[in-house]
Amino acid sequence: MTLLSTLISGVAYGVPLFLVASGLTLIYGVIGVLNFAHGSFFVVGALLVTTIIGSTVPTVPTFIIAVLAGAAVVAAVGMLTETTVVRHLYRRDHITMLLATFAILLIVEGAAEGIWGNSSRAINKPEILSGSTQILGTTIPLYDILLVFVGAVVAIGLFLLINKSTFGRSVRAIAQDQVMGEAVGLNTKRVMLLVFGLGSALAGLAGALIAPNVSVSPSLGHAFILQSFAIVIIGGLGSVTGSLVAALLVGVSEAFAVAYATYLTGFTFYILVAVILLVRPRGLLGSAKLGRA
Amino acid sequence: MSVSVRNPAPPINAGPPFVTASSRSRFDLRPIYEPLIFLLVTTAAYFVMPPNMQYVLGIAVIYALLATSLGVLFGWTGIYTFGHAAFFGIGAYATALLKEQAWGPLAFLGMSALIAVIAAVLIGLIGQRLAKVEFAMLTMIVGQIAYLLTFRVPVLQGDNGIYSIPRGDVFGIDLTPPVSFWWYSIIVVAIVMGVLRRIHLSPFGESLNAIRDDAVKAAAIGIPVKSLRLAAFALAGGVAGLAGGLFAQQGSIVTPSTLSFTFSGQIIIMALLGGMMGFWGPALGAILFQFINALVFGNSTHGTLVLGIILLAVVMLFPSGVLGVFARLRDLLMRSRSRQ
Repeated sequence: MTLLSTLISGVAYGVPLFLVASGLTLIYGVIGVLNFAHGSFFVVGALLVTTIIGSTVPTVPTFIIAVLAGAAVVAAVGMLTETTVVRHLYRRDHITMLLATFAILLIVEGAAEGIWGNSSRAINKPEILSGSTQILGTTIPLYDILLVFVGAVVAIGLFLLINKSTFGRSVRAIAQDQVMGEAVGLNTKRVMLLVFGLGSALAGLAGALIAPNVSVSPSLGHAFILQSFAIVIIGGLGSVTGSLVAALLVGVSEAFAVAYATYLTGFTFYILVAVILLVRPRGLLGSAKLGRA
Repeated sequence: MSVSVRNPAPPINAGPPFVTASSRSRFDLRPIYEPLIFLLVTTAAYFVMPPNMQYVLGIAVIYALLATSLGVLFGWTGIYTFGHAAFFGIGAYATALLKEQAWGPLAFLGMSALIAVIAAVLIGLIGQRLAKVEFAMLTMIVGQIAYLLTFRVPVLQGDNGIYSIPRGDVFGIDLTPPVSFWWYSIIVVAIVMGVLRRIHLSPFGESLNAIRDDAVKAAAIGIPVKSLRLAAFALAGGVAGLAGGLFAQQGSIVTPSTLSFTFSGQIIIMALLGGMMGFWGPALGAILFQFINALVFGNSTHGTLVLGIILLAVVMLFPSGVLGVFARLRDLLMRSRSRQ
């Protein structure tokens, strides 16, 4: 393993984490809801792709359609959650909201167990993406390059959406002051619904993309949601840029742990979290005002 | 209940002005007779039940203690934790790992509680600077680390768990027969509940409630918010650890599921079902939950789904649990009576 391949596999490892964590942190930043169910949304995305692709070797268009379908269905599940449960609890205290989303986590996970069973599934990558390529004399799996590419596209897309579009302007306005946003005529209900849907779609996308790399089972979400919590803590609650930086940091350090210090594998997250909590409790890019919970 | 702050203004070097409870509660007998009623009612129930239900009740009273320890955090102090199973599991594993020692069962419980307290203090210190939601996330992460460690550390035996944990004997009474273990566990639980009830009614308990209601105002009247939060976390961790030790002796086996994320969720559901705010709410909820689980969903394969639906229903419809429903019924009754 050379430095470059470790670096790229680390970044590729960080991309799904970034997708999940950015959705989580976006929902928190705008709506003020820490969505415990986020990890289960992620799993639904992964399981949907395994069902669509099955045991075949998919072509690239099938794979893309499967991934997008996974993200879309999960977005729908998220929006359904917002309209049926989350919306009715905005005025209640935070603990009610935490418990309600925790209940949704259990429900979605239970439903996933009912539909897909407890066994783990694996799927094939499209043939073109299953190989590897040589860059500067080191072997890089093509799928990792795809992940890095998708991560970059989503990061840039999110940046443009939030900072440059009209929708983004209303999102930022509502994140700052929801009552004021409503007073100047923004449709806060709709924006919050869309943000919840967008965040969920990111989780679904992450699940769909990671499906070919891991064995997928309904309990995959536990490990993943905790890792994305770790990333949100490291990056700062409510900061999308923070979650990008943190995801890359965590991904790369995990890859280096795999390559050079195997006994630390699986624990790098927790070490980083402990360090951040001791040195900078509000996270790398977190703002101090987010003590509102 | 009348609550008064110590008056007149204390001299400069005085300690923090703890909220003093009224003299009525200082000589309160509730810490004595309430656990006694609890003991008598559960024991009476135990002896009229068929053996399989006796088994359920035996676990339920241990969970009652565990849920009450969670109530210390959620209900009394307003600390949200999603990894409480970790302390229960730490206590259970402590008893399991020490099984070779020739100690009495009570010494095992003491060790379990002590080790859990140490763990709780460490986590509390790390998380001291965090806001509520971040702290909830931290507890969840810590719980997961504890769970992962059971698979990584060879002594802890991973999924197989540690088995043949002895029950031993107390004051010459062998605890192996279920009936003598019932007496042992219910007496331990009742005593600890009594101690907790005493703490709940003490100035310390009142200060915790003040922190829950408004941490800024509590700090403004001189309550040492951070150290009391830490103390509450240590207390809750210790009691959970003790319950874990009891659980290990009861089942004579400890597996990673005692530390799992789902179990943390179950503890919350138990406490919430009974009502977090009253002292006896979590205990009532735990017993209720165990029986609902055993009677209705015992054979269901969709446990997680049903659990989630129960939790969602409780959160959305009865946010203050069974005790809250009782209170609402009592209010309705009073109102209709006053109208006549």
